[in-house]
Amino acid sequence: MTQYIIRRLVQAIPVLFIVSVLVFTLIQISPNNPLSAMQNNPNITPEDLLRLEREYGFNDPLPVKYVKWLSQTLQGNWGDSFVTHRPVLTEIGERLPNTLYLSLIAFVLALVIAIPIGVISAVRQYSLFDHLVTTIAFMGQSIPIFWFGLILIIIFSVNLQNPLAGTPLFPHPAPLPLFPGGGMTTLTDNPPEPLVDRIWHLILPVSMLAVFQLAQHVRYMRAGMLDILKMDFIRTARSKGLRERAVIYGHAFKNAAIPLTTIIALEIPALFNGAVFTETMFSWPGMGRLFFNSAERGDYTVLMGILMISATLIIFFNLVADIAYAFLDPRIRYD
Amino acid sequence: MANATVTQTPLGKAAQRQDTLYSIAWRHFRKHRPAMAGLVVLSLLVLSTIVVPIVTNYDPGKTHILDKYLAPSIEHPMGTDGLGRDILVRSMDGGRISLLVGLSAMLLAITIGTGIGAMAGFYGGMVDNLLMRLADIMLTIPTLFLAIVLIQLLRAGVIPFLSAGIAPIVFVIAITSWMPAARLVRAAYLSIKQKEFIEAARSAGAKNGRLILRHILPNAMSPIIVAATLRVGAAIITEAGLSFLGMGVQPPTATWGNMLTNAQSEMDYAPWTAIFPGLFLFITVIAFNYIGDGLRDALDPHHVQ
Repeated sequence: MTQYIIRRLVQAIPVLFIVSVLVFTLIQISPNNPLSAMQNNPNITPEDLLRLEREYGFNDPLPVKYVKWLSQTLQGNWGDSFVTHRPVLTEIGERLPNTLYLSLIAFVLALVIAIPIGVISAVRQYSLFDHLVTTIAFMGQSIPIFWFGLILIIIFSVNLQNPLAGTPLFPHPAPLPLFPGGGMTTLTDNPPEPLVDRIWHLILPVSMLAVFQLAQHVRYMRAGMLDILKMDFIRTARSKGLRERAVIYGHAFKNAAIPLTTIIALEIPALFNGAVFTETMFSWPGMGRLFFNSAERGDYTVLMGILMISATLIIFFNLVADIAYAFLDPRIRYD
Repeated sequence: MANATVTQTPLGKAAQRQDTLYSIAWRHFRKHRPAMAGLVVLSLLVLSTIVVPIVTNYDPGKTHILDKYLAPSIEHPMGTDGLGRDILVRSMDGGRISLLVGLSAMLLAITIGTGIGAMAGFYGGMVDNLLMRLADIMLTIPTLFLAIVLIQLLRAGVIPFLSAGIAPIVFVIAITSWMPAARLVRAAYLSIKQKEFIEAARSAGAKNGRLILRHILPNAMSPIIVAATLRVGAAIITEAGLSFLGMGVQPPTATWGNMLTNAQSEMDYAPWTAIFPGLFLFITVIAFNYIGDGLRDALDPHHVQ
C-alpha cells in the first residue's frame, strides 16, 4: 500500500507539470493583462508602461517566461498579486481555509444524510418513501445550483423573519432574516455567540453547495444497495437466520458503498465549481471568489497559483478516494 | 450481400415487423412515464420559444422604463424586469438561445469525445495512453476555472471566428466537457473491437477507418445517445452559470442565465426576476435528464429480447 501511494505521488509530478504548461500558456496568450488597466491612468506615461513591461519581462518569449515562473515557483516564490501587491501564497493562504471549511462541511453533511436515506430507500423499494426520495433526488441533480441559491435567499433571507430576534440567542432586534444572505460572521452590532453566529451563517451556503452531491449520493447509494441485496450471499445470510438489521448493515452496506466511493472521487472537481457560485452569491471570502475576481482583472500570478493548488488538491483527494476504495473492497489490491 | 426481404421468414407478426434496436427501444421508452412526460414538456417548451416571441405584442428587447419591476399580472404573467421588459416573452426568446447553445455544445462535445474515445479504444497502446492521459489532465483542472480562463481568451479575439455571439461559449463548454464521453466510447470500442464480426470485416478487407465508422460506431451508439441527452442538460446549466456570472452570452441577447445576473440585487423588491427564468431552466434540465434516463433503460441490452 505504501509503495502504491508513493508511486501515485510520483506519477502526479508529470501531470502537474503538463497542467502548469497548459494553463500558463492559456493565461499568457490572453491579451488581458494587469498592465492594460494602467493604459487609461493619466499618471502613467506610455514610457512608464514600456519600462514596466520590460521590468516585468512581459515581452520575453513564452518558454523563457515559463522557465522563469517555474524556477521561482519551485523555490517557493509564487510572485505577487498585480492588484493587491501581496504575495500570491499569502492571498491564497487566507482564502483556502474558508473554501475548505465550507466545502468539507457540505461534503460531510451530504454524505451523512445521503447514506441512510439511500439505504432505507433501497430496503423499502417501491414504497412511498422510496418514490419520494427518488423523485426529489432526481430534481436535486437537475437543479441549477446558482438558481437554487437565489431561491434559498429569497425564501429564508428575504421573506422569512427570525422569530428569535431580540432573544439572548440572537440579540439583534427584529427585523432579522431567518438566515443571513451573506458573509461568514455578523459584522454589525449585537452579533450572536460566535459559534451560533458561524452555524447561522453556514446554513444557506452549505445547503446550496450540498444539494447536488446529496442527490447524487442518494441515487448511487440506493442503486448500489439494490444490486447487493439481490446477491446470493445475502440470501445465504438470511437463510442462516440472521436478523434483517445484521444482514443490511453487516453484510450488504459495506459492499454497496463501493460505487459511491467512485462517484465521490469524480465529484471532487465539482466542489470547486460550486465554490465559485456559492462564494460569489454569499460574499464568502474563499478561493472561488478570489479566482473569479482575479480572472476579471487579469491578475495572472494569482490565477496560476489558484489553478496549480486546485489541481494538486484534486489529485490528492482522488488518491484518498482510491485508498478508501481499497479499504472497502479487500479484493482490490494496489501492489 | 443478402437482401433484407430475403432474410424475412413468415414466423408471425413479430418477425415481419422488422424489429430494429431502435423500434424496440422506442417501445420501451414509451412505457417510461417520466421520460415521456419529459419529451412532451420539452416539445411544448421548444414550440413556445419559437411561437411566443412571434405572436406576442411585446418586443423582448424593447425597454419600457415606466413599466419596470411590475409584479406578475394578467398583462405580464411573469412580471417585468428593471428595464420594463416582459419576463415571459424574454424567457421564451432567451430560451431559444439557451437551448441552441446547449444542443450545439452537446453535439460538439460528443463529437470530440467520440472521436478521441474511438481512437483510444480502437488503436490502443501508445495512442490510448496519450489520449486518456490528456483526458485525465483535463479532469484535474476545475472545469469552471478553465472555462472562465478560456472564455476570456476567446472573447478577446484570439481565434477570430470564435470571438462573438454564442460561438465562444459553445466552444468552451465543449472543450471542458468531452472527457466523460471519451471514456465511455473508449470502453465500448475496446469491447466491440474484440468481437468476431470485426475480425470478419477485417478479413473481408475493411480498412481501419471503415471499421471505426461503419462497423463499430453503430454498435457503440446506445451509450453515446444516453450520454448526449444527459450532456444537453449539463451544457444548458453551464451556459446559464457562465452567463449568470457575466461571462457567457452578452446582453442585450437574453438567455436564462444572463436574465438572472442582476436578480440577486433585485430580489428584495422583484423576486419574480429571479424565479421565472430559472424555473424554465430547471424544467428543461429535468426534462432532458428524464429523457436520458428513459433512453438508458430503453437502450439497455438486457431489455432487448
